[in-house]
Amino acid sequence: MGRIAVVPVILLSPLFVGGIALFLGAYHVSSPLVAKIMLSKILFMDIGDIPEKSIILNIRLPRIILSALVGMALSASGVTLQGIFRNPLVDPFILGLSAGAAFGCAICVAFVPEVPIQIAAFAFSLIATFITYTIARSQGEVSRLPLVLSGVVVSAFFTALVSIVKFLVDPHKLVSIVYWLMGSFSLSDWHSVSVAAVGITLGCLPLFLMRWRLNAMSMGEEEARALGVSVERDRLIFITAAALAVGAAVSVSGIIGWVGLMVPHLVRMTVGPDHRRLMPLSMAAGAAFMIFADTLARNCTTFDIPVGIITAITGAPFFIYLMKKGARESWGR
Amino acid sequence: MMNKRPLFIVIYFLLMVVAPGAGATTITIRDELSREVEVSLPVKRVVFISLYEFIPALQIWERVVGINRWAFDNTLLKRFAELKRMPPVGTGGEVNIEALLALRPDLVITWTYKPEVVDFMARKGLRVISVYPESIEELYEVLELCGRLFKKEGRVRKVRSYMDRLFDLIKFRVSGIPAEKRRKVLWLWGKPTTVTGCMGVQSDIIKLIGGINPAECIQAKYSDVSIEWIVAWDPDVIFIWGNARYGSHDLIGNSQWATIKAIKEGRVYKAPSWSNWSPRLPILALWMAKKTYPEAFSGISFTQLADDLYVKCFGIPFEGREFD
Repeated sequence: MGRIAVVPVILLSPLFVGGIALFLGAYHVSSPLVAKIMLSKILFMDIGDIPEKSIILNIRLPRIILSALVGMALSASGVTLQGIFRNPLVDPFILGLSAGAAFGCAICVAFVPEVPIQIAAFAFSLIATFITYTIARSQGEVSRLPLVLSGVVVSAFFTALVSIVKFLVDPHKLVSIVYWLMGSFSLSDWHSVSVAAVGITLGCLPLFLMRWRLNAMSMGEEEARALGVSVERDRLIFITAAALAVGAAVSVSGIIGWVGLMVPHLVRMTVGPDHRRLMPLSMAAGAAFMIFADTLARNCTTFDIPVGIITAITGAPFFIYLMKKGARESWGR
Repeated sequence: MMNKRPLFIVIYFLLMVVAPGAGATTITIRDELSREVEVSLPVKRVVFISLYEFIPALQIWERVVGINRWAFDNTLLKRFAELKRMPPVGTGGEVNIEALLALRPDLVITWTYKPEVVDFMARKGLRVISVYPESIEELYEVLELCGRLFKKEGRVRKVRSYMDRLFDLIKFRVSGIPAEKRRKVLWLWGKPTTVTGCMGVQSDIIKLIGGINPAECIQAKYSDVSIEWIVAWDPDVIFIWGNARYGSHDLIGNSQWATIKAIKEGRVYKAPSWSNWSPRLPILALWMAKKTYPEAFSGISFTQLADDLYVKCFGIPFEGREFD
């Protein structure tokens, strides 16, 4: 009963956290004015051209929505890949996604500045995933171990390529690459929201709709086949969808670790391992957590701290605490 | 009669050995990493990994035996034929130690970007001085150090006087601007949200041109801030670092920046991709001053003054193409 009670709390958490985040920022906007600005947008009222309107509608709101979308994508992908690989230590970057995206960013900054970083990062994240899958497929049927191994190899390869680019590039451009790799929402705007929303929706929708199949796959391949699940086909669909979602996320935010690993675990410990509940709740929790982390990142100090640092600092200790409390339950053992 | 010829040969030989050393002195310098470095003066074979724009200003091309590979992209140095014969030795972060040792330099001048690289070079027997001027005053100190190292004190005094002339002109022109009419000047770096703090040469320049740096509360050379801070500061003028990937049009067309005064008035300018550690710094300062207070610099020909400094410092005319 307790588990059922938290479901609406988790589902509504992004709205709650996002709503609070709207009131917080370096530029002081009074709470009544924030509410007035939001209402004016919803009710199509004209409140004039005041700077606070731009702060709320053009700066804070797109940033909150973007962080929610990225959090949702990373969590959904984490749930999916942990289910497919039946391994609690898997995160969305295991297939070489982050290394591929980092390489896209690096060559863009270093050699092709005319190309937007988002496009290059997205393209190379998908290329890296495709290479991972192709290498794993060369072993015959694509099973978990070859996928993990080829993911590790591809990650190492692209990471080495990033190092080469960092070596060749002048120190001024190197700073841009390093900043991007740390993950940040500081340059969020409505354009990046629309770009991310398309990719993340296209990726997360299949993951959401097919989530019950993850229950079968997480029991093992033989069991899944016995239940009528086409393991190879579904695995391909899941990986492609996860790669699409994470690639879109990484292209707008850089590399943000921990969320895809930690949030699924936290939700699993709370509501159990049934993916029919786990997937939508992880999406919601991931969105809420990312909004929280980014709000902290932009309000802690004058500096805009890279959000990846915040996710690691806040997430890891809490995760350790929950692990000590009851990790065994989370996998239904 | 005694044969005096062997005696003259000995004296001649002694003079040849002693005479060069008679003008030589050894000085001990404490560099930016607090390392004590003994250098025999004058330095005759030098590798510049940093501060290479000092080379044409000090007129010491013949003493330079190696240079940073980024110097070959430098818009000033590319105009000198001497650059072509220079072997590249790597960068401040990644030196080619074998190439360096093969050049047998008396001295390597680098920056403190990677202290472990400086230590490595020193352990390999090279004399290395590391620098990192963080203000105009420190830039002058480094310039004067180079004057001593190369026994070019006279030339340094001239270069400094050319630089001072422009700096003094700027100071004079802005001195009459009352405090309440001073403009807020923001300098942006690689990201539009990376701003100059209260430290560094850029911060000095903003003060020199009579500007107010709204990001002066940041106790660092630069820092990434939320765009809300930039909106809150509402700068009158924005300058963009020359090596940034974005330009003034990217900010002017961006709705997030639309309420900022500098954006509304179109006062966003991209600087040329020049190093701050250069005798060219006063030209950059003059350009920034003219953009910030055009009314205070009416009647001043930027091109003429820049050309004057170029010809006197470097012996070549000024090309204004890089300026916005």
